[in-house]
Amino acid sequence: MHRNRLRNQGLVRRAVQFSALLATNLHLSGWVDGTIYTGGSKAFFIPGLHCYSCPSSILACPVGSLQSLMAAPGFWGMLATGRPDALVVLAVIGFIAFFGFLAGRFACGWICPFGLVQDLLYRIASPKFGFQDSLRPAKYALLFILVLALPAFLRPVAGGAGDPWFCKIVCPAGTSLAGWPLVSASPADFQLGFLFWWKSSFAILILLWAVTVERPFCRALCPLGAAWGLMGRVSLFRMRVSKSCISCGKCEKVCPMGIAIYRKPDSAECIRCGRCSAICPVGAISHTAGGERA
Amino acid sequence: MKALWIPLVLLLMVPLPVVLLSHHSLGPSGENGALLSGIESLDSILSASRGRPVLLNFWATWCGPCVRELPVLQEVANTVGEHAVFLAVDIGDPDLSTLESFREGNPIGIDVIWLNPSDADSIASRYRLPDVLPVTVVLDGGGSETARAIGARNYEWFLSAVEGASSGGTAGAEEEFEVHVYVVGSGDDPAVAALLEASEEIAGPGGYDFLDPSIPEDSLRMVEAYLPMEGWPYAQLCAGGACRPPVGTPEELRAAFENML
Repeated sequence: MHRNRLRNQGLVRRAVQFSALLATNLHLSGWVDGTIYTGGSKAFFIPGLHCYSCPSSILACPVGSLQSLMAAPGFWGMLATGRPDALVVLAVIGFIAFFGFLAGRFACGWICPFGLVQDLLYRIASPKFGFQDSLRPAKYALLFILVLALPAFLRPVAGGAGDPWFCKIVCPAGTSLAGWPLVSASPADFQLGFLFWWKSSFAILILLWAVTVERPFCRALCPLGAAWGLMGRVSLFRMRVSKSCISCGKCEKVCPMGIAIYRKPDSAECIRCGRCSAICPVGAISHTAGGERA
Repeated sequence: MKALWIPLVLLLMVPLPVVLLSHHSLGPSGENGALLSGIESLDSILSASRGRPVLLNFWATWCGPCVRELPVLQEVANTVGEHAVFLAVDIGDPDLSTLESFREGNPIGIDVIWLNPSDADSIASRYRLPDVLPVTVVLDGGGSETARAIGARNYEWFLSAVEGASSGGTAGAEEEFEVHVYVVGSGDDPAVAALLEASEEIAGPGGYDFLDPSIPEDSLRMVEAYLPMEGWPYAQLCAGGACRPPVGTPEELRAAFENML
């Protein structure tokens, strides 16, 4: 019975993920002609990691936008003087904080396109492996170093522009869903250098990793997940484990993030996918506005 | 190992020094950017650039300070990257072929828009441009003017103007208003003598140069100063790092000086 509930819950979640993917990627012709949608909706963000330059995307990536804004020349001066183009950074931070304090990493499990990509890759028949938990803190380092500190403060030329470093040297979502399709559509328009090959190699490794390990990028590297995870510890919508928990460990086995939710219901890793509550044989796990240890 | 994340993060940082070192090798590309023409092209770029600062540099091939300023603009454009749009708008060459020939020998990395005399007048009116070149107008992301310079400027000025730190106003007024006149023509031409007389009256005995294109040394100096190699006799009045279009009579020269004041 619980297996059926898990399957049904999985179908619902997959339907939501695909609906979100479709709703945020309406510029499908971009994949054919290799163009990027530049309409007014690009002023809004998608709750997930999805590159602005993905040919079909009609929304902007909050992580990319945050870095690009802070990397603008004179960003701190513009922010201090209230220039509207710098104040947008507050909107990005507010957007991320809103989702984070509302439901933690909920969007990772239900909306994020790159989360869906990893979910689908893990369904490919192959040997499956466990995840090395000591890699998890890497995402916090990437958030603070590549997303926040370096774009805001590192200026290769004094007074000039910085760089969106996470996008520039790491993001496999950008490489696979924006870089590759754009280069494929019009190879003559691009001079492919070191960074392209570096990022492509890394993206291939991540995608292969996702075939054998469930959601490795979310667990180890996603800076948006890191930010939402920290906020998720105190978010309104989070997991609750009642005292009826029998510590059978079934929830840990089905968790895509590999969390023992019965031991740590307020885990920063939880993506609120709901698989744990669907599999729980005693109905001890639920979503609610508060947390409680068993 | 308990902290596998540390080697992972360090591995992901490998491209960082490579990218930073490549920044320092940036410079004028030595290749021409796009060449567009017409007021429609300009408006189209301005419309597409909403949200980013736009630096419009009005210039012409016969304007020495303008031409010497272009590599500086290129350097600033390299520094700023895609956070701002740089356009060199040629409003002083009546023939497109003049600009095309110029670009063959003097590559301009930033995009250039050529305007015919009619379009140039419209743009001069729209941006209230004085009759001298170069003039730089900086617009913010909403299209409002935030800075303006009459006459050539340096790297720091352009960078601060694009950053929005520069205040408005004609920065040229802060510089020494040194008047200089180039008189170009044949030494035995009475029209040249009249231009020389007017030049001395305007700029003083040491404030003008006479250049005879038939003399190789003078011809070389004309090339170095980007003076027109045809259409003489003429006189070109420059002051405060800006120049006016060449004129052919003493009356036009005096009028140009009066307007410049």
